[in-house]
Order: sequence, then structure tokens, then C-alpha cells
Amino acid sequence: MSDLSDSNDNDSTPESGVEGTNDRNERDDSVTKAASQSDGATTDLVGSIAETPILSSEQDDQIRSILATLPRPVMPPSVAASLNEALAAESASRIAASTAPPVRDDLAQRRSRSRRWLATGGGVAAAGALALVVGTQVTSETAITAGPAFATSFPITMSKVHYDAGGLAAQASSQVPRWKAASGSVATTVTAPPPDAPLSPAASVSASTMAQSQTPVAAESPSVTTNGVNAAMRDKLAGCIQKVSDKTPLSVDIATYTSPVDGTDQQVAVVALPAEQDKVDVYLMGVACTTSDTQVKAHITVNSPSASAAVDATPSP
Amino acid sequence: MPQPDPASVADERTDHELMTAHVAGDPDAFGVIVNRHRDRMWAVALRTTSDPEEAADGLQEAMLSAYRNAASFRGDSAVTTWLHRIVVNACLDRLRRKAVRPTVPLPEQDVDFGGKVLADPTDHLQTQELRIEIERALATLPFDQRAAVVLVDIEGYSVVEAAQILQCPAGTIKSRCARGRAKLAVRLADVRNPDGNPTVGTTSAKGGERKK
Repeated sequence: MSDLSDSNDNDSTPESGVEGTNDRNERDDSVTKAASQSDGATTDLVGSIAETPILSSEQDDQIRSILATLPRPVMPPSVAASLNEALAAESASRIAASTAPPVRDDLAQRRSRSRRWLATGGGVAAAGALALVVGTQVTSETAITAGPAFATSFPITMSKVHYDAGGLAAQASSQVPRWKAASGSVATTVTAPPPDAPLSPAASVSASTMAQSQTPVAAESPSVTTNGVNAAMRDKLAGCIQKVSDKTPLSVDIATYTSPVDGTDQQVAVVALPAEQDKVDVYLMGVACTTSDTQVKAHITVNSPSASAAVDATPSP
Repeated sequence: MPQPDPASVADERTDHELMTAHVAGDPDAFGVIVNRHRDRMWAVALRTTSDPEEAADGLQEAMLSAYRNAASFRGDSAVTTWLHRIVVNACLDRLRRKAVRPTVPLPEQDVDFGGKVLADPTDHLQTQELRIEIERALATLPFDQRAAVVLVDIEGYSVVEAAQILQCPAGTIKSRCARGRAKLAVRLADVRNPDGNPTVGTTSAKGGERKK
């Protein structure tokens, strides 16, 4: 739309023409400098050029200072209310979707719709092929979706413990007793730490978050959101976990992890899986994981705190 | 005048933490982000569309889009930068769809631009008139230049941040700002100098406060 873009500007996209843009800017700068040198002449120039005049640096600063005086408009109450309503409705539909009937029913409906659509447009071969592809993808996705029994077979906590690649082995090792205690069935050889048990110095967690972390998310109430983890999240994580292991986790804990690649903090699910010889397999998976992209940030196998810390550490981006 | 939800202000989580919590299923996290930054996003939407109704609709579209696609936020930039990019794109899309040329329906009284930055109450009318003229002049700029000027000169974003929001090179932002300011200078010349002197801004701006 020509009236929405500056046709004279001929701006470049990030992918192309960067040099051209810089060249043009240099030209702009040189023109501006030349204009500022002539001072009074520039004043006349500004008044005479109709479309894109050249400003001296002083005039440029003046315009900028004028613009900076504009107060920030406050969102009107009606707009704020409308926005809040829209977001609340979106949130409600999200929760409703998370408590919807099992995927099987949804799949049946989609297949039914697909069949009706095919019956209607049966003569269109391309459409039929498309529906076939979609149907195949849905079936494939459903096959790897975690069942309800698995999804509720392990505790999920939200400790917000912060992990980093360098100290991951020690941090994870220090958490093993808690994970085993949380599992309730595997910790036959490990005593759960008392509430005031000191944490490993590497595990940067406050007392309050530790207390919060010891409260598992209610598995039997899928519509309830506890500590920010709801049924949809639980199901999604269960699907991701089943992609990396066929074992039931001792514990899944929502925490944060500093990426060794870019240094950013990311929210991760710390999945503790039982391994041989009383060891624990620990996967750090992005909370936005899917069954097609498990987003494994790191994988490490640890012993109990009393034993040596890490075996087979495999941090990954 | 609506104030951000106190709970949003009190929430000590960073925008990044809130975003990841939202992706993880926290039903309140995204609302906290919106309430935290809504006035700034509203300012950008309003000034880039120059139309309160378009701004309201564009902002709502943008926030719903951000809500649904939060998982695509990879944390490469600030959350606000990402949100502003969505807001600007939504506003641009609305203008394109409606093929509306910005025709300055701007806010004589409909929109509260606030008055607390006025240094001298006796200057209220004159200053208010100047503001309206500036808003009108802004509305005449091409969208790209207007967005750049709004982000850099009014909202105080750095050139680099504005380049991230508008998804173009920093040099392009500088160019757009320079051209935009130059056009504004012409349009504001009469207001600033009613006696006909074309020099722009012979009096200093009052009570200005950079917003970032």
C-alpha cells in the first residue's frame, strides 16, 4: 500500500541491501553536515523545500526535544477493560481446552469431519490427498501422546531451583534425595532429607522456594492449576518424557537453567528417571517441549550425594 | 484513570520468567506482562495508527496473538521488544487491510494524553495546542517513518531496539527518523513560528522528560 510506506525511502530489508542503506545514510549525514555548516542558509532551505528538507543538527535536535516533550498517553479505561476481557476469554478457552475430553474423541471428530469433507469434495483428488496427510499426522501424534495413567504417575513440583551447566552435576546430585523421596516408591536406600537439611552450595534455592518445591502438584485434579502447572502442561511433559525414556520419572521439577550457549535463563523441566545401580538419569527439557521436539538442554547421570557426583555428563545447548 | 493491576506491579518475576511461566501454563503470567507495559504499548499503537479505535483493535489483536504464540518467543530480545514488534505489525496490518490513509482524527479530547509534564499551568492551552499539532503532523508521516520516530524520539527506544522492533537495519531506522523529523519540521514551522520565520523550534521545549 503506497500510502503506508515511504516510497521515496526505498528502505532495505535486513536480508538485503544493508550496505546500500548505510551508503545512503552516509550520504544523508554528509548532506546534513554540509547544511549545518552553512547555518543561516539552511534556515532558508528548510522553508523552501516542500517534501524532505535537510535539517541542520541543531534543528534536528530541536525537533527531537519537541517530540520528547509529548507525554505518554494513558490507556483509556474502556480499552483496558476490553483488553482484559479478551485475554480472560482466551485464558478460559485455554483452560477449557486443557480439560477437554481425551484426545481420542477429538481425533474421532476430526476424522468424522474429514470424511464428511471428503464426501462433499470427493472429486477433488488434491484435497483428498491433503486430508490423508493430515489424518496420518494426527494419528501419528496421538500414538505418542502420553496416556492419562502415565501422566499422573509421577509428581511434578515447581521449585524454581536455578541450574547452570558448570554446576549441574553437583546441583542435580544434591537434589537426588528429594526426588527419590517425592517418588515415594524408589527411595528405599535413600533417606529423604529433613526440612532443615542444608542444600549443596551450588544449588541456589531459597528456603521459601524449597518449601514450595516439596508440595507436589495435585495429580488427581486435572482442571486445577497448582504452582503454575496444569493438566495440559502435565500431559505435554508426559509426552516429552516418553520420547526420551520408557521409565516413570521419580520426579519432575520446573526450574530454570542458564543456557551455556547464549547465557539466557530458560525455564526447564528437570526430569529425574531411575537408572541402574541407584543412579538417577536427569534430563533438562524446555517447558515448551513437544513430542516432536523434546528440547533436551542437558542430560546427566548422577549418583546419590554421598557417592561421586557425575557420570556420563552430556550437557547440550 | 486506570492504573495497572497492583498485583502486576507487585509480581517480582521478570518478563522472561513470566513468559516462560505463561508457556508452562500459568494462567496469570501473561496478564501481568500486559498490565506492566500496557501504557507504553498503547502509546505506540495510538501514535502509529493515529486513530484510537484502530489502536485499540490493533493492540487487542496483537496481545491475543502474543498470548497464543508465546511459545515462539525464544528470548533473543527483551519481551517488550517482541511485544512491540507484534503491536506495530498488527497496527500496520490493520491500516493495510482498511487502506486507511492516516487522516488525523486525533484526540482533541477523546484521548487522555496526561498533563503532568506541564511545567507551567498557564501554558496549558498553548502547550496542549502544540501537542495536538505535533500529533497531527506525526499522523501525516508515512507509516515507516512515523513508527521509527515514535519509537526512538517519543518512546525513547534506542536505534538498535527500534530496529529489532521494526525488523530492519539500524541504519534504516536512522534514515527514517531523519526524514521523519525533517518533514515534521516543515509542518511544525508555522506553529512554532507564527510570525513566518521558518526556523524550527526557536523556543526550547518545556518540561520534557525522556521516557527511557
